[in-house]
Amino acid sequence: VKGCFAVAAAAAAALAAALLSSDLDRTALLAALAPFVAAGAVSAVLSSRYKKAFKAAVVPALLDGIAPGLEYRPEGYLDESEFTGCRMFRRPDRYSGNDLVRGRVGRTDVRFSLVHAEERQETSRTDSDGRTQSETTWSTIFRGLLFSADFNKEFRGETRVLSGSPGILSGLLPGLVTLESPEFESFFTVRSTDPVEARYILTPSLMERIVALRRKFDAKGTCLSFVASRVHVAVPMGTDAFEPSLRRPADDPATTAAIAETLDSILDIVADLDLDTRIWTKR
Amino acid sequence: VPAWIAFGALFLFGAALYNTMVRRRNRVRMAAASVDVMLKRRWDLIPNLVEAVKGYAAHERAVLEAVTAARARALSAPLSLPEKASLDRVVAPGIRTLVALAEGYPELKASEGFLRLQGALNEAEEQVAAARRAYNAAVTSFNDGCGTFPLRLAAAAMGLEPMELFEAAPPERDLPSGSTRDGSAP
Repeated sequence: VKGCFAVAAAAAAALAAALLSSDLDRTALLAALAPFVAAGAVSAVLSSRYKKAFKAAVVPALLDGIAPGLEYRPEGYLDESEFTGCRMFRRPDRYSGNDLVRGRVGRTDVRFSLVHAEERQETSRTDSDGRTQSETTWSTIFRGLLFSADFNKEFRGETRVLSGSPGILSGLLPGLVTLESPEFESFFTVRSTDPVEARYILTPSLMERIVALRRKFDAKGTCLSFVASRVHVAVPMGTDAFEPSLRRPADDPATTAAIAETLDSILDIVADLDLDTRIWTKR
Repeated sequence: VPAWIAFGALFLFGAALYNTMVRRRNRVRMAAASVDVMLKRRWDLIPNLVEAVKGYAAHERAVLEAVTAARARALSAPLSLPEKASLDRVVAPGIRTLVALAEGYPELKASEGFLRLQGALNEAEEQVAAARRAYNAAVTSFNDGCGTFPLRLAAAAMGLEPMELFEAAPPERDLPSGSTRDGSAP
C-alpha cells in the first residue's frame, strides 16, 4: 500500500510537471494521470487483501476469547430473507454485508453480521434540448449491525419495537401498543399483531433492558423486532466495524482493542436482554 | 351556514364520539376475554402442582387447601372479572409458596416433571401479567373517554360508567430460584 502511495506521489509530480510545461497536450495529461489510476487500483486491491487477512487472523481469536465456539466468516452476512423477515425494514433492491458470526452464547443461538441495504431511486430530467435522461441513485435503507438471537419465550405473532416515540398520528396505523413506561415510549414505538403477546414479550424488566441497550450503543435508529420466536436487533453503524485502520500498524493494540470492544458489546446483547435465562417452557 | 350542513356536521361529530366509545368498550371486552383465558390456563396447572408437592407440603397444608378451594370456586360458577381477580390474589401467592417448597427438597427441585411444571407456571404467570397489563391499558383508555370532554357526552348518553382496573396480586416476597425475574406481578 505504501508503494502505491509512492507511485501516486511520483505521478502527482509528473502531472505537476505536465501542467507547468508550456506545450501541454491531452496525451501528456493522460500519461500523467495513468499512474494515478493504476496506483489507486493497486492500492484498493492491496488494502482489501490486507483487511481480509487481518480479519481472518484477528477476529476469530478475539471471538474465542469472548465466547468460544463461534463461527466467523469475513465475507458472509445474514440472508436478505432474514433482513426482510425481521419486519423492521422495506425490501431492499440491493443488499450486501460482511462479518458474519454465528453460534451459541450459553444456551442461546445467535447470529449477526454487518449489512447494507439500499433501494433504487429512478429520477428523470429533461435537458435544454428536450431529451429526457433517467438517472439511478441508491439510498440507504439500513447500514449497520443486524443481530438475531433465539428468544427465551415462544410467541406466534410479530412485535416490532421501532425507533422514535409514538406521534399524534401513530394510532391511525393498526397495531400500535401503548406501554406503561414513559422512558421506553420516549425512545420507541411498539407495533404488534397481538397486544397481549407484545406485553408478554415486553415485560417491565425487558423494557428497561432495551432502553439500556439503546443507551449503550447510543445509535439513533436502533430498533428491535420479535418474529418467529427470535429477537432481532438493528443498530445503525458502519460496515467496517471490524476492519483495521490503514494508518496504523497491524499489531497496534488500540486497533485490536477497539474491535474486541465492538464484538464484546454485540455479544453482550444476550446478557443485556437476559436471553439466556430459560425459566419458561422454552428450553 | 345552512341549517342542514350544521345538522349534518353535528350528526357526524356525535357518530364519531359514539363509535370511539364503542371501540374502546370492545377493546376492554376483548382484553377481559384474554385475561380470562390466561387465568384459566394458570388455574388448570393447580392440580398438577398440588399433586407434585402434596408429599412435601405438610407445613403448608393451609396454602394447599386455599389454592385448591379458590380454583374449585373459580370453576364452579361463572364469575365476573373483579371476582376472578380477587380469587387470583389468593391463587398467585399460594402457587409461589408451593413452588418455593422445592427449595427445601432437592429431589423435588431436580425432578424433570417439576422443572417442566415450574416453567409452565412461570409462563402462565407472565401471560396473566401481560393480559392484565393489556386489560388495564384498555380500561384506562375507556375511563379517559368517560371522564374527558367531548367523549364524556357520548359515554353519558350510552350510560357507560368507568371500570375498575385489574389489581395485581401482592408482590412476591421470597422469590424462589428459577422463578420469574421480570418484576412483573401476575
